[in-house]
Amino acid sequence: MALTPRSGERFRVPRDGHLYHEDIVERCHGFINCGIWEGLDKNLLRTWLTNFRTDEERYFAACVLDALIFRSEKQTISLFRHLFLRVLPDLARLEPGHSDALIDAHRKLKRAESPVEPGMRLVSATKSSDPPSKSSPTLLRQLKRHLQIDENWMIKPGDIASCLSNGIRVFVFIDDLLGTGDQFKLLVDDEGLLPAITSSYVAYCPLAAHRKGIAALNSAMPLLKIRPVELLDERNEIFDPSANCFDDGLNSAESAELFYYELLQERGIHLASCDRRGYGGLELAYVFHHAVPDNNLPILWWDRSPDWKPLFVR
Amino acid sequence: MNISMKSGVSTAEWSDGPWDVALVGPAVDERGRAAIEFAKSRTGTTIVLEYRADSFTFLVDGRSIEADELSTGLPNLASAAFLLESTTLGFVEVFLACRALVRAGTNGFHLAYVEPKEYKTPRRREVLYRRAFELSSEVPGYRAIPGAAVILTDRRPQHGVFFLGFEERRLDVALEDFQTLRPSNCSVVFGVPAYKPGWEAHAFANNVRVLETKRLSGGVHFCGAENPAGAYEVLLEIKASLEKDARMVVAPIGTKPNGIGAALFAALHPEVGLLYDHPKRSAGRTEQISRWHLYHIGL
Amino acid sequence: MSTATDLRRVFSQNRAEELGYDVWQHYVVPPFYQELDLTAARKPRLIIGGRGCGKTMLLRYLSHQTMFSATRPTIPTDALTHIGLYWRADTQFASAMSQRGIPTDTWDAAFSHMAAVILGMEVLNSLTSIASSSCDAVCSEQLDQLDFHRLLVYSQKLAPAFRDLHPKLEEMLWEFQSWVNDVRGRTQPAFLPGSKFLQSLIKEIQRQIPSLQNAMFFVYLDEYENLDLRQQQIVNTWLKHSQTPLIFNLAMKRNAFDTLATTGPEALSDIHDFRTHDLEQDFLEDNFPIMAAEILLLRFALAGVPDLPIEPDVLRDPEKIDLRRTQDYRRAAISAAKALFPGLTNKELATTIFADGALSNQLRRRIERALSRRNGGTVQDFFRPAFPEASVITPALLSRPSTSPDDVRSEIEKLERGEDNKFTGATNWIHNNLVASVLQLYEPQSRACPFYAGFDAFCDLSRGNIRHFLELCYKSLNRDTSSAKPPIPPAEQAEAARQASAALLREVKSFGRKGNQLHDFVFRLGTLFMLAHQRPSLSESEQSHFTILRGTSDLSEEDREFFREALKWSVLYEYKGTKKKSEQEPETTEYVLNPIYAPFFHISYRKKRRLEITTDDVICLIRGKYSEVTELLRRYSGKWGLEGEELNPTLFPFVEPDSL
Repeated sequence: MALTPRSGERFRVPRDGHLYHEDIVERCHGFINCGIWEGLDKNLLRTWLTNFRTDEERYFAACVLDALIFRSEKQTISLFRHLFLRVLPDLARLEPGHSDALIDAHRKLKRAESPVEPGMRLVSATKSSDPPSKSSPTLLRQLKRHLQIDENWMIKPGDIASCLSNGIRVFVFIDDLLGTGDQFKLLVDDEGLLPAITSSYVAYCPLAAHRKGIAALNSAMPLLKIRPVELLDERNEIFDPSANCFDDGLNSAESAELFYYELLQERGIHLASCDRRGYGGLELAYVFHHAVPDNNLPILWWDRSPDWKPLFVR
Repeated sequence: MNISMKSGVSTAEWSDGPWDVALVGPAVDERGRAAIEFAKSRTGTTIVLEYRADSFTFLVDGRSIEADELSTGLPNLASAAFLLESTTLGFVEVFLACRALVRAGTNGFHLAYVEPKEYKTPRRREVLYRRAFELSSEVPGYRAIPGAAVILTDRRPQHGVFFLGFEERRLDVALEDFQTLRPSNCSVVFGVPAYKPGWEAHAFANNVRVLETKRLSGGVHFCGAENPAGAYEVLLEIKASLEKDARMVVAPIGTKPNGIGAALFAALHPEVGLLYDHPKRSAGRTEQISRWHLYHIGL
Repeated sequence: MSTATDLRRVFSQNRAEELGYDVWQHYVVPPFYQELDLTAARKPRLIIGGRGCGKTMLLRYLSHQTMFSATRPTIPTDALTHIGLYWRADTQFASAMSQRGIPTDTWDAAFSHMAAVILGMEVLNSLTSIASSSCDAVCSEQLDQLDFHRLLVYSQKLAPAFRDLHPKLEEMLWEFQSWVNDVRGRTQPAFLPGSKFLQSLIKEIQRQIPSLQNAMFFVYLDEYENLDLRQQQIVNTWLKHSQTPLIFNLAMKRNAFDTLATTGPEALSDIHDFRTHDLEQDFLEDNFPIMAAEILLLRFALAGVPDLPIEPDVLRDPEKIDLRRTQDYRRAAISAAKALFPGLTNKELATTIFADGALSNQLRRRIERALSRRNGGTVQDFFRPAFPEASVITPALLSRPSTSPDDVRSEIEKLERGEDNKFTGATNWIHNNLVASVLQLYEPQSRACPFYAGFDAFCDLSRGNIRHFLELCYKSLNRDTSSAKPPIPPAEQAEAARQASAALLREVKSFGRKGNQLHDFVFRLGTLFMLAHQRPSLSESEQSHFTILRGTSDLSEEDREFFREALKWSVLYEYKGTKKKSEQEPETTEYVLNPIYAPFFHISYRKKRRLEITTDDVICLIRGKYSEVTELLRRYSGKWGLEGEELNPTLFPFVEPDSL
């Protein structure tokens, strides 16, 4: 009865696509008004939508918005709480060793009148050479403010050596997104952290991680214990068929992707090959209120073309 | 009270048990069957427990007893090691069993939960119904749970806390039926992180219309969807923020693990009321198994 | 000067509960208010109406908080003979007061006790309202002097002083709640004897405050249908034995009166014991346009829009209803409403087809397709921009075996020459087919047809439901693309109608126990009507309602129960049939799908031609599996000659992806 889209078919607006677009836009405004997407700028949303001029472009934008994951500050804090309540205890159980420090970690790391050495440190995933605008310190600030973590137990990578010499053996790296793993590899190289990873208990616990990045880091540094709070995979990649972003009976992920490339071309968003779909070709639509990882589709954050207004400012 | 939690890809990762008594419910899908099998494999006695909302009774291995007398139908509440199989047990069964265990003075008990891999969305290709779910076939409507019934009234400050899931109708019906619950005094809790990243969007999308039209303004909170301790913490925080004589009413219409958190909270705070609509779960609403969870409640 | 924001704001509050108990500022006294005769009545009233017909607003208006509102400038002297006590029973709590191993008569007494406590508090609250209002019958010093020591005979827990009695009653309520939660563990409190207690309380008040000696109290119990059967019987008993100074009245949805039995030997009799007012049926259908216009204009007035033909103070005052009954007034109000939300004439509707590239191509294609199956004629013969109405209906005419292309062409030519013809003459082709043809042309792109625009259309779509009407207005004003300043362009209104229709369709899921099933049913039925509207010949045009023909199976009791639910929630409306089409029909009841869902399915909201469906097909629509319903729709599509391009590929949106 229904059509199976043949490859090569143009991206089209399905039945009710028009109403769907209005629904999604109304929904996004609703999310912002209700506090679900607190922190997403309504004005930026409005101007971003003006980028899409034809019916097909508007429908495409609606599909992307429908798939968008936006982690507001409150949601981010919930992810952190989950890290301490679920992720670290499971890690301690499955990868024992010096992991006793991870049990009841939140209580041990909390500010107290008479602080007691918790036996572990939280480490920001920033290189000494990184600019202050990098997000990891922001995350640690949130931990300090909203989870009452004592800042004495939060360090930079450069401090690991001295902590080791003071007998600390457990280090948990805090980060927002692990995409391809390239950034973390660079960090490890630049700061010379491989010996510490090999000899002590080092965990990397980003709030979200893509399976591809985990695989890459696992093969480069097998002793690093990687445990994200949220695990992303092909189903979070906008143009992967399993994501079902364009599964409307008329279009396919393939036709949507081709349409997307044409749109970029037309609007002067010039990027090399797979970077057109975000760094590493990860095609994500996963954004934090405080940071927009470049693994996301550039249409969400590109600000270098006069003919394109971003939804998020990096 | 402390809650410790562990999860795993299979139960082989845990050496917990054996337990003396497992409480299970009827299985409607593969998940439920697998959960019951796990419970049976590590327990001496398995009891099938089913609550009937219309008559306020329980079927305990087929025998009918009054809900108010549940503790007489369960053996050795204080001394036996209990496992509550919460995938197959409904919310009311979990709550009343927790309450009975707490009142009997037990040191602690376990709960198990199996996460689904997929939820069925038959209408996926119709763009307006992308996030439509058919999780319940019939919903009798909100009926009191003996022991946690509360008179809803605007004579006294009352604060509603709704744990939200995929089906918008459940919040809509509550607010439509209970107009004495002022929207300015209602908070909502969403499960973030969800079982899978992006699933929380189903709950967001399906509830936002009601949140907006009914103008709920008591605050939006988040806690892990499979995290009873997180749910418990959120409830504690909300309770601490209320006026001294304000009554809290909790509606656990989100995930089962959040419901467990709510059940524990209500069991340990008798002045907290519960609002529940007793949905009949549709067969085949979920597919396959994702992760296993084991929760230990230490009292 | 009003801004778009102000308008959106005043239109966004369209629920009674958002306004609190004092609705004096917002309530437009309905034109039929005096016919309701509520304030003078001594016989209990049964007020029937679905969600959105103004039932709750009316009850709140009648309650003491509004009648004695501090914002009400003058209060008539007879107001004291109607002191309204609004009670919306907390039915989820009440549900716990049954079974559980406790004898029925204990629960009976408990329910009466709860009523006595809650209504007792309301009586005291009403005195406070009266004292704070501009009515000088009672002042708060008089209240302070009230002495209720005689009531202590019912319970020592009560207090004699006015200011202390309310808190004591409240304490009793919480004690009662604790007992209900733990009937085995706690001692049963002493119960107050229901209405007897209330009668005594009122008599004390009448005795001690002379200006209140003729005070009468009217209880309005809302959403009665949600109480359980036994509790309904108790309430029925109060109704049956209602006497001054305390009269009980009920409010409920249609078809919700489950029992007339009381706890005594005599049942309620609907002639002797109470009077029924069906807000939707008896009144709103005739009065709705003027009521809608007044409510609309009041909202505009509250947003600061000047020069409107209404006065807010007149709308609020039941004494001034006569001023609103004149023909001139009605005409002016309705014209003003139409000017704010203009619609399109039939000619304008047809012209929109020619003004839009996609739609005129659609028309060309349909003419072409119709001609391909006939002999003779070119598209240009029938595609005539100078005669849009005639052109638009030609595909339907050309699809009819009884009409040849030559016939149609010659009639168009007569039309062109100004001669008598079948398009505009007695045969009236245009009148009978235009709307259906226009809907057909808009449907494939799922575009919102301007047929759904205009104040008149909004009234028809809402069918007496004020909430639906306000939702249509709100969505029109709220659209991003419009400046939200009146008049709102018809195209925007049509889009708003589609959005509102889609949103209200989703809401069906929350309609009671069978909400999910009702929602599926509406979807299936709507789709069937949508297919009917796509029939090329339109020989039966605008089919949006149905009758049931006897098939091989009979409707089960469960199916009939389902129909009752559908009627209760106003998903369907029933009418006694007009004329029988064949002798097969066992009954002549016609079922109309609520017109508010029409825009979503691109079908007509008018009641024109009916579709006859067998019992077997009805059963399939109510409870058939997805595959059975798809089969049913395919069968009808085949029967109606729908094929290929007429059917949009995603027409069956509920089909499981795997079975495609």
